[in-house]
Amino acid sequence: MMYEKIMNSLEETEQFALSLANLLESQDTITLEGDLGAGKTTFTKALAKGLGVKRTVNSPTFTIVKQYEGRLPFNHLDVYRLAESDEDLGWDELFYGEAVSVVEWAHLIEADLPKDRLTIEIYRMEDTVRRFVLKPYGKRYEGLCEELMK
Amino acid sequence: MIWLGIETANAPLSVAVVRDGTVVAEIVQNIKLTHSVGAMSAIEKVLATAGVQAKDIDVIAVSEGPGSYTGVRIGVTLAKTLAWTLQKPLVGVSSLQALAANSSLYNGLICPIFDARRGNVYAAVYQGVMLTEIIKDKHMAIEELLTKLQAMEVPILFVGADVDVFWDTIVAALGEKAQRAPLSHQLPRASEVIRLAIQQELPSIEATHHFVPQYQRIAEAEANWLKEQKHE
Repeated sequence: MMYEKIMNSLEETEQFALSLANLLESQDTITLEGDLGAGKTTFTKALAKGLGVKRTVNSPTFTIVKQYEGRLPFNHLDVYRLAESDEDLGWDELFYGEAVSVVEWAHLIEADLPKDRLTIEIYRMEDTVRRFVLKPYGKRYEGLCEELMK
Repeated sequence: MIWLGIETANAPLSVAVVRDGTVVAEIVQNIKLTHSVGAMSAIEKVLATAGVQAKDIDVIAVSEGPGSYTGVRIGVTLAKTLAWTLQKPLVGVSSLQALAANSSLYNGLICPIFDARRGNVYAAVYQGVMLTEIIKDKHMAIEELLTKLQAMEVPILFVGADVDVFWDTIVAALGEKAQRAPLSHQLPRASEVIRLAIQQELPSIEATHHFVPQYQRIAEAEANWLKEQKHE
């Protein structure tokens, strides 16, 4: 199963992130892939806002994970720096806690990710136009995508 | 004599109270609940169910690893904190041996397995019924384990919820020699941790300070440091 959506503006992307945020529950995991400048951070900021996070969300590249409080706790992970690593950083405590998790560069920790998850790929088409490709893995995320794409 | 047993070395959780050689209450679960949230409340619940107050506990037994770093750390930290606060001795038991103990009546070779991700396992081989160590607890590639087991001429019983992950690979390497423990033996039990702990000599209360998890694997920073030392 695969869903595609073209976002014609920044506002559309933000609106989409808000709609997704409203459907999220504890232990949901979303992976984000996309080139530099594709808009992963923009999307994540809007998603966090939708989850009721008040603090400024910025890149966790250095710290690997940042945790925020909102309607649900929110984990923002950027595992880029783990490319050469197979360290056990307590993933289960992150993914199976109360929080919603967004993981950038997720393929680098493939083995540690929950099998059921939503993957989002962002492609830059033009200046403000983006193509979003969503792939749900597992029943929970199939239902989520159907609801989201209504 | 009242024992409290704690087992959180991997995703499953178990806590138990044993009084004078009898299991009074035990929790065994395998749900998506993190130990940082679930372990302490499970201990409170099992103590309440058993009608035991914390001050009544005489000894604490804990599964000391190997397993997930976070799981092992949480179990050992809880056990150490309780043991020191209550001023009662703390006994550690191998988490792999505790898992093997589920099937200890099997009169043959028992191989408990935890998935260590990326094709690796924490595993060991014990001889039933006495659970004598044949291959020590170790972090290794599944292939390395299977090569060792191919050299053995007898059937081997695999125990653990994670056997599922590797079963096809195991059967491909070992054929009919590979046997699988029934589903009721999949999860580690704190009562088995206590049973194995009872066989050990009780350490002093001061020894609690020196109690450390048995990760059976060095942290990445340590591994890199060792590598650098070799180059110099």
